[in-house]
Amino acid sequence: MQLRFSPDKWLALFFLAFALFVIFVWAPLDTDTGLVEKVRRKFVVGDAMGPTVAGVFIAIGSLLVFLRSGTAKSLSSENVFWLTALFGLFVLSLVTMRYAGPVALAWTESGYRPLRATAPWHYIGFLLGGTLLVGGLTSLAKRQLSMRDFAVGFATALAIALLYDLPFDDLVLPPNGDV
Amino acid sequence: MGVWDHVIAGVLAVFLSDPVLGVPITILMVLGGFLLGITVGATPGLAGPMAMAISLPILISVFGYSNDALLPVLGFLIGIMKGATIGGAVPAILFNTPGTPDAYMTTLDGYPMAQRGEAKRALRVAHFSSASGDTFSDIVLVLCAPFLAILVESYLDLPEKTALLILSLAFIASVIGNSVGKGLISMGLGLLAAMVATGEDFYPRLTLAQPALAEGIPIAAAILGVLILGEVFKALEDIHRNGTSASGTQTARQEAMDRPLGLQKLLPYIGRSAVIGTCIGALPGVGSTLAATLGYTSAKRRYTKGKAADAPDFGKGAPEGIAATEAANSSVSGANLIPVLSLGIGF
Repeated sequence: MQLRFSPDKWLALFFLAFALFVIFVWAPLDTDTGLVEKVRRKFVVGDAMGPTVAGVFIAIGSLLVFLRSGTAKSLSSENVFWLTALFGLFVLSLVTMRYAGPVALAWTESGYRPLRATAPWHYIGFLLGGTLLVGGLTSLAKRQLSMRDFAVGFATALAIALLYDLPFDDLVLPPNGDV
Repeated sequence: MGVWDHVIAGVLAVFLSDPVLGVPITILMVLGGFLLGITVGATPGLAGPMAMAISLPILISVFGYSNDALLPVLGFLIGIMKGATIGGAVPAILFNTPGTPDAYMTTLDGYPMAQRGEAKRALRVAHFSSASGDTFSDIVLVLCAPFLAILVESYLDLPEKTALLILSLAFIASVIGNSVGKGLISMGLGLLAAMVATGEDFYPRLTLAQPALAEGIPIAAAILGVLILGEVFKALEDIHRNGTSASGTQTARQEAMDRPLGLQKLLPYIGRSAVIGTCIGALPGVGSTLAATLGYTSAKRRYTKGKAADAPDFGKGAPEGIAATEAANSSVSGANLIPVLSLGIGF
Protein backbone atom coordinates (compact mmCIF):
# COMPACT_ATOMS: atom_id res chain seq x y z
CA MET A 1 0.00 0.00 0.00
CA GLN A 2 1.28 3.40 -0.90
CA LEU A 3 0.87 6.25 1.53
CA ARG A 4 -0.58 9.21 -0.31
CA PHE A 5 -0.14 12.13 2.00
CA SER A 6 -0.48 15.76 1.04
CA PRO A 7 2.70 17.88 1.00
CA ASP A 8 1.61 19.43 4.32
CA LYS A 9 1.51 16.04 6.00
CA TRP A 10 4.96 15.14 4.69
CA LEU A 11 6.22 18.47 6.01
CA ALA A 12 4.64 17.71 9.37
CA LEU A 13 6.23 14.25 9.50
CA PHE A 14 9.62 15.68 8.60
CA PHE A 15 9.48 18.31 11.31
CA LEU A 16 8.10 15.86 13.87
CA ALA A 17 11.12 13.67 13.26
CA PHE A 18 13.37 16.72 13.46
CA ALA A 19 11.78 17.85 16.74
CA LEU A 20 12.22 14.40 18.28
CA PHE A 21 15.82 14.41 17.11
CA VAL A 22 16.37 17.84 18.73
CA ILE A 23 14.69 16.90 22.01
CA PHE A 24 16.17 13.43 22.50
CA VAL A 25 19.50 13.46 20.64
CA TRP A 26 20.83 16.87 19.71
CA ALA A 27 19.98 18.90 22.81
CA PRO A 28 21.10 16.30 25.38
CA LEU A 29 24.33 15.46 23.55
CA ASP A 30 25.37 18.95 22.52
CA THR A 31 24.79 20.83 25.79
CA ASP A 32 26.77 20.52 28.97
CA THR A 33 24.08 21.15 31.58
CA GLY A 34 20.73 19.40 31.73
CA LEU A 35 17.24 20.87 31.67
CA VAL A 36 17.71 22.23 35.19
CA GLU A 37 20.71 22.14 37.41
CA LYS A 38 21.35 22.71 41.08
CA VAL A 39 23.67 25.60 41.84
CA ARG A 40 24.19 26.39 45.53
CA ARG A 41 21.08 24.41 46.51
CA LYS A 42 18.94 26.40 44.06
CA PHE A 43 17.46 25.05 40.88
CA VAL A 44 18.40 27.13 37.85
CA VAL A 45 17.60 26.70 34.19
CA GLY A 46 20.20 24.62 32.38
CA ASP A 47 21.47 25.06 28.84
CA ALA A 48 19.37 22.22 27.46
CA MET A 49 16.11 23.89 28.51
CA GLY A 50 15.89 26.41 25.65
CA PRO A 51 16.51 24.00 22.76
CA THR A 52 14.13 21.47 24.30
CA VAL A 53 11.39 24.10 24.56
CA ALA A 54 12.03 25.06 20.93
CA GLY A 55 11.86 21.38 19.97
CA VAL A 56 8.56 20.99 21.81
CA PHE A 57 7.16 23.98 19.91
CA ILE A 58 8.21 22.41 16.60
CA ALA A 59 6.66 19.09 17.64
CA ILE A 60 3.36 20.71 18.65
CA GLY A 61 3.32 22.69 15.41
CA SER A 62 3.93 19.63 13.26
CA LEU A 63 1.23 17.68 15.11
CA LEU A 64 -1.22 20.52 14.41
CA VAL A 65 -0.27 20.54 10.73
CA PHE A 66 -0.55 16.75 10.53
CA LEU A 67 -3.96 16.57 12.19
CA ARG A 68 -5.41 19.38 10.14
CA SER A 69 -7.34 18.08 7.16
CA GLY A 70 -5.15 19.27 4.32
CA THR A 71 -5.88 19.52 0.65
CA ALA A 72 -6.66 16.30 -1.17
CA LYS A 73 -3.66 16.80 -3.43
CA SER A 74 -0.96 14.26 -2.74
CA LEU A 75 2.73 14.86 -3.11
CA SER A 76 3.47 14.51 -6.81
CA SER A 77 6.66 13.22 -8.33
CA GLU A 78 7.14 16.67 -9.82
CA ASN A 79 7.34 18.21 -6.34
CA VAL A 80 9.94 15.66 -5.31
CA PHE A 81 11.91 16.18 -8.51
CA TRP A 82 11.89 19.95 -7.99
CA LEU A 83 13.15 19.66 -4.40
CA THR A 84 15.83 17.14 -5.34
CA ALA A 85 17.00 19.21 -8.30
CA LEU A 86 17.15 22.34 -6.15
CA PHE A 87 19.14 20.70 -3.36
CA GLY A 88 21.38 18.90 -5.84
CA LEU A 89 22.17 22.13 -7.62
CA PHE A 90 23.02 23.88 -4.34
CA VAL A 91 25.32 21.08 -3.24
CA LEU A 92 27.01 20.96 -6.65
CA SER A 93 27.55 24.75 -6.80
CA LEU A 94 28.84 24.99 -3.24
CA VAL A 95 31.22 22.07 -3.74
CA THR A 96 32.45 23.70 -6.95
CA MET A 97 32.87 27.02 -5.16
CA ARG A 98 34.83 25.40 -2.35
CA TYR A 99 37.11 23.07 -4.32
CA ALA A 100 37.54 24.64 -7.79
CA GLY A 101 40.44 26.84 -6.66
CA PRO A 102 42.43 24.12 -4.88
CA VAL A 103 41.85 21.68 -7.75
CA ALA A 104 42.91 24.26 -10.36
CA LEU A 105 46.18 24.88 -8.54
CA ALA A 106 46.81 21.32 -7.43
CA TRP A 107 49.62 20.92 -9.98
CA THR A 108 51.67 23.80 -8.54
CA GLU A 109 54.19 23.27 -5.79
CA SER A 110 52.63 25.62 -3.27
CA GLY A 111 49.00 24.79 -3.95
CA TYR A 112 46.06 27.17 -3.58
CA ARG A 113 46.47 28.38 -0.02
CA PRO A 114 49.28 30.96 -0.47
CA LEU A 115 47.52 32.40 -3.53
CA ARG A 116 44.04 32.59 -2.06
CA ALA A 117 44.15 36.38 -1.73
CA THR A 118 45.83 37.03 -5.09
CA ALA A 119 44.06 38.00 -8.29
CA PRO A 120 43.07 36.23 -10.45
CA TRP A 121 43.30 32.98 -8.49
CA HIS A 122 40.97 33.95 -5.68
CA TYR A 123 38.13 34.48 -8.14
CA ILE A 124 38.17 30.91 -9.48
CA GLY A 125 35.91 29.26 -6.92
CA PHE A 126 33.48 32.16 -6.55
CA LEU A 127 33.05 32.70 -10.29
CA LEU A 128 32.67 29.02 -11.22
CA GLY A 129 30.35 28.22 -8.32
CA GLY A 130 28.34 31.43 -8.79
CA THR A 131 27.94 30.87 -12.54
CA LEU A 132 26.78 27.32 -11.92
CA LEU A 133 24.31 28.43 -9.24
CA VAL A 134 22.71 31.33 -11.12
CA GLY A 135 22.76 29.67 -14.54
CA GLY A 136 21.52 26.38 -13.10
CA LEU A 137 18.64 27.99 -11.17
CA THR A 138 17.55 29.95 -14.23
CA SER A 139 17.67 26.90 -16.45
CA LEU A 140 15.80 24.85 -13.87
CA ALA A 141 13.04 27.41 -13.62
CA LYS A 142 12.79 27.80 -17.40
CA ARG A 143 13.09 24.04 -18.00
CA GLN A 144 15.68 24.52 -20.69
CA LEU A 145 19.45 24.72 -20.78
CA SER A 146 20.88 27.71 -22.58
CA MET A 147 24.29 29.30 -22.82
CA ARG A 148 22.70 32.68 -22.33
CA ASP A 149 21.58 31.88 -18.78
CA PHE A 150 25.06 30.77 -17.84
CA ALA A 151 26.52 33.91 -19.41
CA VAL A 152 24.14 35.97 -17.27
CA GLY A 153 25.19 33.88 -14.27
CA PHE A 154 28.85 34.57 -14.97
CA ALA A 155 28.22 38.31 -15.35
CA THR A 156 26.27 38.36 -12.07
CA ALA A 157 28.95 36.46 -10.17
CA LEU A 158 31.64 38.73 -11.60
CA ALA A 159 29.70 41.87 -10.70
CA ILE A 160 29.16 40.68 -7.10
CA ALA A 161 32.78 39.61 -6.77
CA LEU A 162 34.03 43.01 -7.98
CA LEU A 163 31.47 44.88 -5.84
CA TYR A 164 32.83 43.31 -2.69
CA ASP A 165 36.44 42.76 -3.68
CA LEU A 166 37.52 46.08 -5.19
CA PRO A 167 36.40 48.62 -2.55
CA PHE A 168 37.02 46.56 0.60
CA ASP A 169 40.55 45.39 1.27
CA ASP A 170 39.76 43.36 4.36
CA LEU A 171 36.89 41.35 2.90
CA VAL A 172 37.72 37.87 1.66
CA LEU A 173 35.60 36.37 -1.09
CA PRO A 174 34.04 33.02 -0.30
CA PRO A 175 35.35 30.35 0.00
CA ASN A 176 38.81 31.74 0.65
CA GLY A 177 38.29 32.25 4.38
CA ASP A 178 37.94 28.52 4.87
CA VAL A 179 40.46 27.11 2.41
CA MET B 1 19.40 67.16 30.80
CA GLY B 2 15.64 67.22 30.60
CA VAL B 3 13.63 65.25 28.12
CA TRP B 4 13.41 68.10 25.63
CA ASP B 5 17.17 68.60 25.74
CA HIS B 6 17.55 64.99 24.63
CA VAL B 7 15.06 65.49 21.82
CA ILE B 8 16.83 68.65 20.66
CA ALA B 9 20.21 66.95 20.94
CA GLY B 10 18.89 64.16 18.75
CA VAL B 11 17.65 66.56 16.09
CA LEU B 12 20.94 68.47 16.20
CA ALA B 13 22.92 65.23 15.84
CA VAL B 14 21.18 64.62 12.53
CA PHE B 15 21.76 68.09 11.13
CA LEU B 16 25.30 68.47 12.46
CA SER B 17 26.61 65.11 11.24
CA ASP B 18 29.70 65.15 9.03
CA PRO B 19 28.90 67.06 5.86
CA VAL B 20 29.51 65.49 2.47
CA LEU B 21 29.40 68.08 -0.34
CA GLY B 22 28.00 70.55 2.19
CA VAL B 23 25.01 68.40 3.16
CA PRO B 24 25.00 66.42 6.44
CA ILE B 25 25.67 62.77 5.67
CA THR B 26 22.66 61.53 7.63
CA ILE B 27 20.29 63.55 5.48
CA LEU B 28 22.02 62.33 2.33
CA MET B 29 21.67 58.74 3.50
CA VAL B 30 17.98 59.20 4.32
CA LEU B 31 17.46 60.61 0.83
CA GLY B 32 19.40 57.76 -0.76
CA GLY B 33 17.46 55.17 1.21
CA PHE B 34 14.19 56.86 0.32
CA LEU B 35 14.93 56.81 -3.42
CA LEU B 36 16.06 53.18 -3.23
CA GLY B 37 12.93 52.37 -1.23
CA ILE B 38 10.62 53.90 -3.83
CA THR B 39 12.38 51.95 -6.58
CA VAL B 40 12.21 48.72 -4.63
CA GLY B 41 8.62 49.26 -3.56
CA ALA B 42 7.57 50.08 -7.11
CA THR B 43 9.09 46.84 -8.43
CA PRO B 44 6.66 43.96 -7.97
CA GLY B 45 8.36 41.08 -6.20
CA LEU B 46 10.86 43.20 -4.30
CA ALA B 47 9.85 44.54 -0.90
CA GLY B 48 11.18 46.92 1.72
CA PRO B 49 12.41 44.34 4.25
CA MET B 50 14.34 42.61 1.49
CA ALA B 51 16.11 45.82 0.50
CA MET B 52 16.81 46.61 4.16
CA ALA B 53 18.28 43.15 4.66
CA ILE B 54 20.52 43.48 1.61
CA SER B 55 21.69 46.98 2.49
CA LEU B 56 22.43 46.31 6.16
CA PRO B 57 25.57 44.19 5.68
CA ILE B 58 26.83 46.55 2.96
CA LEU B 59 26.18 49.60 5.15
CA ILE B 60 27.90 48.00 8.11
CA SER B 61 30.93 47.11 6.03
CA VAL B 62 31.10 50.71 4.81
CA PHE B 63 30.39 52.55 8.06
CA GLY B 64 31.40 49.96 10.66
CA TYR B 65 29.86 49.58 14.10
CA SER B 66 31.00 52.87 15.64
CA ASN B 67 28.79 55.50 17.25
CA ASP B 68 29.14 57.77 14.21
CA ALA B 69 27.81 55.02 12.00
CA LEU B 70 24.49 54.77 13.82
CA LEU B 71 22.73 57.76 12.31
CA PRO B 72 23.66 57.29 8.62
CA VAL B 73 22.92 53.56 8.70
CA LEU B 74 19.65 53.95 10.59
CA GLY B 75 18.69 56.87 8.35
CA PHE B 76 19.24 54.82 5.20
CA LEU B 77 17.16 51.93 6.54
CA ILE B 78 14.32 54.21 7.62
CA GLY B 79 14.45 55.89 4.20
CA ILE B 80 14.04 52.50 2.51
CA MET B 81 11.16 51.61 4.82
CA LYS B 82 9.22 54.78 4.06
CA GLY B 83 10.09 54.87 0.37
CA ALA B 84 8.95 51.28 -0.11
CA THR B 85 5.53 52.04 1.34
CA ILE B 86 5.06 54.98 -1.02
CA GLY B 87 6.48 53.09 -3.98
CA GLY B 88 4.24 50.09 -3.34
CA ALA B 89 1.27 52.08 -4.61
CA VAL B 90 2.76 52.58 -8.08
CA PRO B 91 2.50 49.01 -9.48
CA ALA B 92 -0.72 48.52 -7.50
CA ILE B 93 -2.35 51.35 -9.43
CA LEU B 94 -0.73 50.83 -12.82
CA PHE B 95 -0.48 47.05 -13.12
CA ASN B 96 -2.93 45.69 -10.52
CA THR B 97 -0.03 43.94 -8.77
CA PRO B 98 0.80 45.39 -5.35
CA GLY B 99 4.55 45.99 -4.97
CA THR B 100 4.24 45.44 -1.23
CA PRO B 101 1.64 43.30 0.58
CA ASP B 102 0.13 46.31 2.35
CA ALA B 103 -0.67 47.98 -0.99
CA TYR B 104 -3.10 45.21 -1.91
CA MET B 105 -6.11 47.34 -0.93
CA THR B 106 -4.81 50.10 -3.18
CA THR B 107 -5.32 47.87 -6.21
CA LEU B 108 -9.07 47.67 -5.49
CA ASP B 109 -9.66 51.31 -6.35
CA GLY B 110 -6.39 52.32 -7.95
CA TYR B 111 -6.51 49.91 -10.87
CA PRO B 112 -10.11 50.75 -11.89
CA MET B 113 -9.10 54.42 -11.82
CA ALA B 114 -6.09 53.68 -14.02
CA GLN B 115 -8.32 51.79 -16.44
CA ARG B 116 -10.62 54.79 -16.59
CA GLY B 117 -7.58 56.81 -17.62
CA GLU B 118 -7.10 58.52 -14.27
CA ALA B 119 -3.81 56.84 -13.35
CA LYS B 120 -2.06 60.13 -12.75
CA ARG B 121 -4.75 61.35 -10.39
CA ALA B 122 -4.75 58.01 -8.55
CA LEU B 123 -0.98 58.21 -8.12
CA ARG B 124 -1.17 61.76 -6.83
CA VAL B 125 -3.87 60.82 -4.33
CA ALA B 126 -1.79 57.85 -3.20
CA HIS B 127 1.37 59.88 -2.74
CA PHE B 128 -0.37 62.76 -0.99
CA SER B 129 -2.13 60.42 1.47
CA SER B 130 1.00 58.38 1.99
CA ALA B 131 3.10 61.43 2.83
CA SER B 132 0.50 62.96 5.15
CA GLY B 133 -0.16 59.71 7.00
CA ASP B 134 3.54 59.19 7.45
CA THR B 135 4.18 62.72 8.67
CA PHE B 136 1.40 62.41 11.22
CA SER B 137 2.79 59.21 12.67
CA ASP B 138 6.33 60.62 12.73
CA ILE B 139 5.10 63.52 14.84
CA VAL B 140 3.47 61.04 17.22
CA LEU B 141 6.72 59.08 17.31
CA VAL B 142 8.80 62.13 18.20
CA LEU B 143 6.31 63.15 20.89
CA CYS B 144 5.81 59.69 22.43
CA ALA B 145 8.93 57.59 22.09
CA PRO B 146 11.31 59.60 24.35
CA PHE B 147 8.88 59.59 27.26
CA LEU B 148 8.12 55.92 26.87
CA ALA B 149 11.83 55.13 26.69
CA ILE B 150 12.54 57.11 29.85
CA LEU B 151 9.64 55.39 31.56
CA VAL B 152 11.06 52.02 30.56
CA GLU B 153 14.53 52.86 31.78
CA SER B 154 13.47 54.28 35.14
CA TYR B 155 10.74 51.88 36.19
CA LEU B 156 11.35 48.54 34.54
CA ASP B 157 13.56 45.95 36.15
CA LEU B 158 14.33 42.43 34.97
CA PRO B 159 10.90 40.90 35.72
CA GLU B 160 9.12 43.61 33.78
CA LYS B 161 11.55 43.31 30.90
CA THR B 162 10.94 39.56 30.85
CA ALA B 163 7.22 40.28 30.68
CA LEU B 164 7.89 42.58 27.71
CA LEU B 165 9.85 39.83 25.96
CA ILE B 166 7.00 37.38 26.54
CA LEU B 167 4.61 40.03 25.21
CA SER B 168 6.66 40.41 22.05
CA LEU B 169 6.71 36.62 21.61
CA ALA B 170 2.94 36.60 22.14
CA PHE B 171 2.58 38.99 19.21
CA ILE B 172 3.81 36.17 17.01
CA ALA B 173 0.26 34.88 17.37
CA SER B 174 -0.98 37.87 15.42
CA VAL B 175 1.38 37.38 12.49
CA ILE B 176 1.13 33.60 12.39
CA GLY B 177 -1.22 33.63 9.39
CA ASN B 178 -3.49 30.87 8.18
CA SER B 179 -1.77 27.79 9.49
CA VAL B 180 -1.12 27.83 13.23
CA GLY B 181 0.90 24.66 12.99
CA LYS B 182 3.31 26.04 10.39
CA GLY B 183 3.61 29.24 12.41
CA LEU B 184 4.59 27.26 15.49
CA ILE B 185 7.13 25.26 13.49
CA SER B 186 8.72 28.47 12.16
CA MET B 187 8.78 29.96 15.65
CA GLY B 188 10.43 26.83 17.04
CA LEU B 189 13.04 26.90 14.29
CA GLY B 190 13.71 30.59 15.00
CA LEU B 191 14.10 29.93 18.71
CA LEU B 192 16.40 27.02 17.96
CA ALA B 193 18.56 29.16 15.66
CA ALA B 194 18.79 31.86 18.33
CA MET B 195 19.95 29.29 20.89
CA VAL B 196 23.01 28.12 19.02
CA ALA B 197 26.06 29.01 21.13
CA THR B 198 24.19 31.38 23.44
CA GLY B 199 23.96 29.32 26.64
CA GLU B 200 24.91 30.36 30.15
CA ASP B 201 27.49 27.62 30.31
CA PHE B 202 31.08 27.69 29.06
CA TYR B 203 30.32 24.89 26.66
CA PRO B 204 28.95 26.42 23.42
CA ARG B 205 25.65 24.61 23.05
CA LEU B 206 24.26 23.10 19.84
CA THR B 207 27.35 23.97 17.82
CA LEU B 208 28.05 20.37 16.68
CA ALA B 209 31.68 21.09 17.61
CA GLN B 210 31.98 23.42 14.61
CA PRO B 211 34.20 26.43 15.31
CA ALA B 212 32.25 28.41 12.69
CA LEU B 213 29.15 28.21 14.90
CA ALA B 214 30.92 29.11 18.14
CA GLU B 215 29.79 32.72 17.85
CA GLY B 216 26.22 31.74 17.07
CA ILE B 217 24.43 32.20 13.77
CA PRO B 218 25.16 35.73 12.46
CA ILE B 219 22.00 37.80 12.51
CA ALA B 220 22.66 39.29 9.05
CA ALA B 221 23.01 35.81 7.55
CA ALA B 222 19.82 34.68 9.24
CA ILE B 223 17.82 37.69 8.02
CA LEU B 224 19.19 37.38 4.49
CA GLY B 225 18.47 33.68 4.42
CA VAL B 226 14.95 33.80 5.76
CA LEU B 227 13.67 36.94 4.06
CA ILE B 228 15.42 36.86 0.72
CA LEU B 229 16.01 33.22 -0.08
CA GLY B 230 12.42 32.40 0.86
CA GLU B 231 11.14 34.95 -1.63
CA VAL B 232 13.61 33.79 -4.27
CA PHE B 233 12.62 30.13 -3.94
CA LYS B 234 8.95 30.97 -4.08
CA ALA B 235 9.41 33.09 -7.20
CA LEU B 236 11.55 30.37 -8.82
CA GLU B 237 8.94 27.70 -8.20
CA ASP B 238 6.17 29.95 -9.51
CA ILE B 239 8.11 30.52 -12.72
CA HIS B 240 8.92 26.82 -12.97
CA ARG B 241 5.25 25.93 -12.59
CA ASN B 242 3.66 28.61 -14.77
CA GLY B 243 6.17 28.62 -17.58
CA THR B 244 7.16 32.27 -17.77
CA SER B 245 6.83 35.09 -15.29
CA ALA B 246 3.50 36.83 -15.00
CA SER B 247 3.14 39.44 -17.68
CA GLY B 248 2.02 42.93 -16.84
CA THR B 249 -1.57 43.89 -17.50
CA GLN B 250 -2.50 46.38 -20.13
CA THR B 251 -3.50 49.75 -18.84
CA ALA B 252 -5.18 52.62 -20.49
CA ARG B 253 -2.26 54.91 -21.12
CA GLN B 254 -4.36 57.80 -22.19
CA GLU B 255 -4.66 60.37 -19.44
CA ALA B 256 -7.89 62.14 -18.83
CA MET B 257 -7.54 65.86 -18.38
CA ASP B 258 -5.98 66.86 -15.11
CA ARG B 259 -8.78 66.90 -12.62
CA PRO B 260 -8.19 68.57 -9.28
CA LEU B 261 -7.45 66.22 -6.40
CA GLY B 262 -10.49 67.22 -4.36
CA LEU B 263 -8.52 67.49 -1.16
CA GLN B 264 -11.36 68.62 1.12
CA LYS B 265 -13.22 65.41 0.34
CA LEU B 266 -10.15 63.24 0.94
CA LEU B 267 -8.83 64.82 4.13
CA PRO B 268 -11.30 63.21 6.59
CA TYR B 269 -10.43 59.78 5.19
CA ILE B 270 -6.72 60.47 5.39
CA GLY B 271 -7.06 61.71 8.98
CA ARG B 272 -9.00 58.70 10.20
CA SER B 273 -6.68 56.26 8.48
CA ALA B 274 -3.61 58.02 9.85
CA VAL B 275 -4.91 57.65 13.41
CA ILE B 276 -5.81 54.00 12.80
CA GLY B 277 -2.40 53.29 11.25
CA THR B 278 -0.54 55.03 14.05
CA CYS B 279 -2.39 53.07 16.75
CA ILE B 280 -1.79 49.78 14.94
CA GLY B 281 1.84 50.62 14.31
CA ALA B 282 2.47 51.35 17.99
CA LEU B 283 1.65 47.72 18.76
CA PRO B 284 4.73 45.60 18.18
CA GLY B 285 4.37 42.79 15.68
CA VAL B 286 1.19 43.97 14.02
CA GLY B 287 1.94 44.89 10.44
CA SER B 288 0.89 47.57 8.03
CA THR B 289 -1.30 45.13 6.08
CA LEU B 290 -3.76 44.97 8.97
CA ALA B 291 -3.72 48.77 9.24
CA ALA B 292 -4.43 49.12 5.53
CA THR B 293 -7.34 46.68 5.78
CA LEU B 294 -8.82 48.43 8.82
CA GLY B 295 -8.39 51.87 7.26
CA TYR B 296 -10.02 50.72 4.04
CA THR B 297 -13.01 49.03 5.67
CA SER B 298 -13.72 51.88 8.05
CA ALA B 299 -13.53 54.34 5.16
CA LYS B 300 -15.82 52.13 3.10
CA ARG B 301 -18.49 52.17 5.80
CA ARG B 302 -18.31 55.93 6.07
CA TYR B 303 -18.22 56.42 2.33
CA THR B 304 -21.28 54.30 1.50
CA LYS B 305 -23.33 56.25 4.07
CA GLY B 306 -22.86 59.70 2.57
CA LYS B 307 -22.10 58.94 -1.08
CA ALA B 308 -23.18 61.15 -3.92
CA ALA B 309 -25.30 59.34 -6.49
CA ASP B 310 -22.84 59.63 -9.37
CA ALA B 311 -19.66 58.88 -7.39
CA PRO B 312 -18.00 55.52 -8.05
CA ASP B 313 -18.42 52.77 -5.43
CA PHE B 314 -15.59 51.57 -3.23
CA GLY B 315 -13.73 48.94 -5.18
CA LYS B 316 -14.81 50.50 -8.47
CA GLY B 317 -12.31 53.35 -8.50
CA ALA B 318 -13.04 55.72 -5.64
CA PRO B 319 -10.07 57.97 -4.82
CA GLU B 320 -11.18 57.89 -1.18
CA GLY B 321 -10.31 54.17 -1.11
CA ILE B 322 -6.75 54.86 -2.24
CA ALA B 323 -6.41 57.72 0.23
CA ALA B 324 -7.65 55.63 3.16
CA THR B 325 -5.40 52.66 2.35
CA GLU B 326 -2.25 54.59 1.64
CA ALA B 327 -2.59 56.89 4.67
CA ALA B 328 -3.12 53.87 6.92
CA ASN B 329 -0.22 51.77 5.68
CA SER B 330 2.20 54.69 5.61
CA SER B 331 1.33 55.90 9.09
CA VAL B 332 2.34 52.50 10.42
CA SER B 333 5.97 53.00 9.49
CA GLY B 334 6.57 55.89 11.87
CA ALA B 335 4.63 54.49 14.79
CA ASN B 336 6.22 51.09 14.26
CA LEU B 337 9.42 52.60 15.54
CA ILE B 338 7.83 53.49 18.91
CA PRO B 339 8.18 49.96 20.33
CA VAL B 340 11.44 49.45 18.44
CA LEU B 341 13.15 52.51 19.83
CA SER B 342 11.61 52.65 23.28
CA LEU B 343 11.02 49.02 24.24
CA GLY B 344 13.53 47.28 22.01
CA ILE B 345 10.87 45.07 20.41
CA GLY B 346 11.20 44.57 16.67
CA PHE B 347 8.26 44.30 14.34
